[in-house]
Amino acid sequence: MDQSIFKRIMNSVNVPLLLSAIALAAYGSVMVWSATRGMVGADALFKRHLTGLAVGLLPLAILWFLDYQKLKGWAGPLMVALSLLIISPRIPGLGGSAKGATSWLKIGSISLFQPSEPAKLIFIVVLAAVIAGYNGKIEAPRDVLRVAGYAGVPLALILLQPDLGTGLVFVVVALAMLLVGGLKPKWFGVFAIIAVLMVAAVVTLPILKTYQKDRLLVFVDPTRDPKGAGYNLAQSKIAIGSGGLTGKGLQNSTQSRLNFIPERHTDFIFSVVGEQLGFLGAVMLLGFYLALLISSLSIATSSRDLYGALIAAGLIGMWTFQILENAGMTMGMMPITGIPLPFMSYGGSFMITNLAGVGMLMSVWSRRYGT
Amino acid sequence: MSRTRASGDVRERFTGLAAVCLVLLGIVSVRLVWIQVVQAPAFAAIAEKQRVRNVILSPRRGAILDREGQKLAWTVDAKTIVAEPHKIRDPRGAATALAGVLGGTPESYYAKLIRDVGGLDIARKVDMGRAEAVSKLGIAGISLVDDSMRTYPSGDLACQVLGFVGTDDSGLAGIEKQYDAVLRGTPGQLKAEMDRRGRTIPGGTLVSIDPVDGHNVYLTIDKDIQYQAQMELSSAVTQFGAKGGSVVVMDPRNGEVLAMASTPYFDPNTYRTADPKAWRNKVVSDAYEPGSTIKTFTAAAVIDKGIFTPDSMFNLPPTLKIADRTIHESHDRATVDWNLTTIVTKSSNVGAVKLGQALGANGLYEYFSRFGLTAKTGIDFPGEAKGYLPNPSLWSKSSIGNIPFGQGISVTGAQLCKALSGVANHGTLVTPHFLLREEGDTRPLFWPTESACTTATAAQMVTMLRAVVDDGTGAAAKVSGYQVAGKTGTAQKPLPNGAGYASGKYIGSFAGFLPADDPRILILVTIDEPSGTIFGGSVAAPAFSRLAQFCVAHLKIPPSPQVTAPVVVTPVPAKPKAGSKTGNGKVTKAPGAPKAPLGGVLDSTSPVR
Repeated sequence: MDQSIFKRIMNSVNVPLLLSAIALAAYGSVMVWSATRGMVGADALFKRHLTGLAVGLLPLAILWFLDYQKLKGWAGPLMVALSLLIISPRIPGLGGSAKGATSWLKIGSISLFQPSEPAKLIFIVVLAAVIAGYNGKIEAPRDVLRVAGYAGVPLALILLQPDLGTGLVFVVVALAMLLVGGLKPKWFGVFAIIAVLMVAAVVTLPILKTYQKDRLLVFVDPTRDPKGAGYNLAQSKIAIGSGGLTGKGLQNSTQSRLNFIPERHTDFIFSVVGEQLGFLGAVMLLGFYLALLISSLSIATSSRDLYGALIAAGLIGMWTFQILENAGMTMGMMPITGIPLPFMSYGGSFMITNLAGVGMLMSVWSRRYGT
Repeated sequence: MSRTRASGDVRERFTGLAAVCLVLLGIVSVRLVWIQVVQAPAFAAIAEKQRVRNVILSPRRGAILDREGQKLAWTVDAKTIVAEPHKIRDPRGAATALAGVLGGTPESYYAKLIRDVGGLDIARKVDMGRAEAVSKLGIAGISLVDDSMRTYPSGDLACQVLGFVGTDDSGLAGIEKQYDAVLRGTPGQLKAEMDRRGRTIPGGTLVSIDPVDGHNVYLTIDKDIQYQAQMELSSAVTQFGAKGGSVVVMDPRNGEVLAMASTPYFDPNTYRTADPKAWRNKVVSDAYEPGSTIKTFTAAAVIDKGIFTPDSMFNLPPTLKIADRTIHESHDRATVDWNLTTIVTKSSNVGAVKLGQALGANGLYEYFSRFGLTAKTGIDFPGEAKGYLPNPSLWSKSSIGNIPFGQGISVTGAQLCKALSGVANHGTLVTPHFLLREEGDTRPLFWPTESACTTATAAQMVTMLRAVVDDGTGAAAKVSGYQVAGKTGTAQKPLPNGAGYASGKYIGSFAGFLPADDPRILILVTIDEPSGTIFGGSVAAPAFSRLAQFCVAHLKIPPSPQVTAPVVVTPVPAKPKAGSKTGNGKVTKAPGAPKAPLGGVLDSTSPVR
């Protein structure tokens, strides 16, 4: 009996995923602790990071034990919830803004969380339900239009916030899920053309805020404004580059500690890893991510149904893009968008969302033999 | 129905997704290698450069003091006014307020206050009084930063000697430049890590070396004599409507310069607004044709060489033809029979040429060299010039007809003073100099001396030069109670192109020393282009007399014993140096100098009676 329970538990645990998630969360905690040394209220920041980690275990557990297939039936209500969540910061009395984007849900003066973070998960759940309905073949224009509608409405809403970073996450997540969900290749071509046209429209029409345009333009020409937006990029590269092979040691980094790196415990935590732990530390981090993605892929292919596989595909797309975008922007490969690094960056909502994602994967994994 | 685990399609698609993920992570890794391995040294260098601040800590510049320790130049606290334009709410009003305190036009400040920079200097080296006033304006975005400022408390006093410093506190001219290394001190260094805002972080100090302040420099200058010299010079220049003039007071025993100046003066505090020509210490940096003062050394040469004695007689025609030139006297006269002493006292050009002919070109050149007229004096001052006296091999046939009385030769005032020190100082030349001592340096200073002529020759020359003042062209140089030796000079100014002389342009000068029996003061006064009266005996000698009068009183120099006994016709030689023939001790009060020496000086004379 005892053995049987133990066996059941072990059966429901994907050990590689759990280990890589634990490794990343631990790594992230160490880096947030190290990065915040010398900052005002460093201890409080670190404590809040750990609190987010602890709180995140709750949705992880709930989603793990909840049969993910039940979510499939809630696609309609979840779509409504998703839309409300996205626009909630705009609702008077609830919203709060940070750095030009209205992205916080507030009650009074208490910031609750960033709705865009759970929105990513709900987006995945809803879109997976829609795509799974086509049983791996999306070909007819009518079907494509319907799927595009489910993906496009939340995307449009998030872009209107405006939250370019989350919008890009939505796009990549949708593409990953459509790939797995069997969208015919020619439709990717159509989406690409539409995307190009939209980008052209965005650049020419006054849709983006000035600071967002600046960030994007600095990516094209880093010398455009070395003390302003480009300054962040330049400083980040200096920090990573000066870390060299083995880094300068935890807490010991000069560029991070001396405030040269902006947002060093959030968006630019990768720069701190690069500076303090060097090339080896950064490669180790990428190794953990590789483990996370491979175990996620293995869960996806083990899924008993397409729905679970699509959820896994969405999460893989989300994490891959965020890793690529965040690490890439700190090294001048990608525009600076304010997308954090999964499991590493400081931020409660973000950490909870990632842990919830792990819970969903666990749910898919633990039910791989069920009916 | 919806089971897909076995579905090959989905597996294939996930392989595609996995491939995409791997490729993207691979790209990130490659980029990481590029930045962190390949470019790491370059980024490390940039990091070091931007976070380590290397501040040079300025030492305080040493003061320049006169021989009594009175401040001639020193460094005081000041402020730099700094603006952060983005913090200034009302640049127009701020500009007007600043102009009201600091001077200048509001527009010039306004232009700075609206510049798109983080911060900039509005005014540097602002004295504490005005800085305080700026601070009281209470303009947000205007702040004060510690600075220092060189101050010359006596304005134009000894201006050319002192020189001035630049904004970076380095000496640019004069003593400030000459002793810059001593005055400047050693800068300190603060090398520290700083944060993004440029603040030094606690515990981030890498190097901390305190600056070592500069040493004070004591000059041989006597502030009171310097003041008097400048007063006398400018009043003489004004009185005779001259273009300019210069003055030197030197101790002939050791070469200590007690005063030196040339007009026009300038205020080193505001040297930028002065004519740069006024910055020149003409005594050291400019050579001129000295004229008759040079006859002193022509005469010394013939005596020292044993060719003639002061009593040797010469038959002097009114004019003398040498090669293509005819030598004239300054005052026409008939043919006379004069001895050597009279040639000097009456400053005969024809006589001087006769002496020169007796010496020959080489003999004359040798002695001029021995009296230092062909070399720099070695004075401790930047930019010393050397006069012009070509080697005899380059002389024309007529050179011997003008060089002996000071034409076709040029010297600086400093050279002339040094040469005359050979006569005053018993045949030994001294090196004129300004440095009395450096604070913190106890090593003895060594100023070279050279032998110019024998002691006996020097003594005979002193006698002759006394006669110049007693009976000759230098009568106006007399100083009541003191025997004065000296020589007048009235030189035509050569044309700038070297072809002959400018008509009506002269330099009148007087070079002399006193007391003649024990010289302690050597003074050179030159008046450039006096109008009306031109003779050195008239334009320079009176200023010499008044200045000498002041010096003997100020330095409490006892009067000459012979002068106190005018009734003695055949006196017991008071000093072996004084020639018996010239000890006539005639007392004539210098015109316009009736004031008696100071009490202390009178007292010292009384025992002789």
